[in-house]
Amino acid sequence: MLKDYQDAHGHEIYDYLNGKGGYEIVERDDGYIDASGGAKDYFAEYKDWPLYQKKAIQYARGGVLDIGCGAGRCLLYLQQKGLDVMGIDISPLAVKVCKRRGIQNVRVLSITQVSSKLGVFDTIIMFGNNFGLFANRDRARWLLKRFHKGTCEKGRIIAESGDPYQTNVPEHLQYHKFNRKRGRMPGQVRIRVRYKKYVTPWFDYLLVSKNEMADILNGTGWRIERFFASTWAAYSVVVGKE
Amino acid sequence: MLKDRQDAYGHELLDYLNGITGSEIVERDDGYIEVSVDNKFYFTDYKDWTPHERKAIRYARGRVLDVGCGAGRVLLYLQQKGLDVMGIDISPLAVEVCKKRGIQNVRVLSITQVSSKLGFFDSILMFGGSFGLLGCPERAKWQLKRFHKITSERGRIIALSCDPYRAVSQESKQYRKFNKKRGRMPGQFRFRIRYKKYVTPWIDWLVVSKKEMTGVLKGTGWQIKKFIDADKSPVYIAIIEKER
Repeated sequence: MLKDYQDAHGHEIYDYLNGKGGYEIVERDDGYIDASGGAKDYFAEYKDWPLYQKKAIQYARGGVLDIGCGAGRCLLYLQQKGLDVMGIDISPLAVKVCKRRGIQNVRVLSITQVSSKLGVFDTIIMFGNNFGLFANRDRARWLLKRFHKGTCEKGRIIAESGDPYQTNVPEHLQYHKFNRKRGRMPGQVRIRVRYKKYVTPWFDYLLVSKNEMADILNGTGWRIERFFASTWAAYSVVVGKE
Repeated sequence: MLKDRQDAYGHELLDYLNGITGSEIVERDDGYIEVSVDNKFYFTDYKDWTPHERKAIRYARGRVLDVGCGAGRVLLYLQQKGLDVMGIDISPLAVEVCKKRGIQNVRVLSITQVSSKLGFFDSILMFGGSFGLLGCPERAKWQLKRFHKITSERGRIIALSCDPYRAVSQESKQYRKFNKKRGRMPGQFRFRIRYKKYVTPWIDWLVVSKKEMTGVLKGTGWQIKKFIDADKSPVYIAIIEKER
């Protein structure tokens, strides 16, 4: 759980809900800094989602767990469709925003706190690049095995990532090199989110190509069912049990 | 002169000129961080300027010095109008951008390097908040006295600032308090600009109310001729002339 002064993401979306601010700044550990899409994207209604997300979310069924639910755009959509949804986020303010927006089942929990205490799920959602929350290869495999136990036989993971190699930005290419040198995956970005005076701790966020994702899944009991491509580096994926 | 790794806004301007995107980010010394103006702002044509800017620029006459000229939006306009203009900026890349855009007389110089070697001027421009470059009240007075010496008898300064007391957010109030406590003017911001991997040094940027500006001018030989207010914003432009 993030402390209030760490809850940059939460304050950003909370302000946006109240008609203020809404930018989001991401700082990488090589000093690279830039603004991201900002809060607006976290509130996007289904009709405004990109096609590769719209298509993937149709694979959600049964009891759904949304990991890193943010302002709850997926939860809202699925709840309206009548699915039994639960959302978790490490940001207390994000959870507050979700509740205000009418989401019934949402808790302040991190990805590593997902356990059988929450019940058994049919679908796990890691949208908005949240495959990144796996942080690194080893942790991804450990968590995937845990998720395998916490899901039903026909369990699914619907995730989103971005292919780090689909770029020609010199700073990003340099960063891949920097990561390789220190024994990390090229797309294993170490970042923190900043908003006003709020700063998250540094965290690892894992961006992978489709091949890398398949490799990570190998031996975890999960396999890729299908990909949905976007017009840029982002893509969504439906993962099923072997 | 900024070193390349310090030239955050120069890289921003050059990238914009080349169709590459990125955000200008301002980080204040209390840890507050935000996305600054859209890069496009530095390239706006006269017709897209704010009404108060268009009104104020009419006061430019004769030989003009633009201090902190950025991508040269003001220089371009005045040059097209046929005025004799010179621009200076501490960003080598900003100066490069100005040259690429067809500005003839532009140099990499800081405000403190302005001297009679550049010749005499009739108008000094500090647009886009560049009054802030004066840094602090003492330096402002010193700088204004120097400007007095290198301007003609009918010399003018056209300077944009913003009333800091009209920012009412919690963070703004806290920062003004923080400044007072350490003996600075409430609107004496210390920040640095970040763009991608480029970071400027920490900069003192002086933002003053009209009353404070009048106080800063006192004893420098300059006086306010008039204020031009922005519509629905704390921004204003001062037309400053020599005392007679």
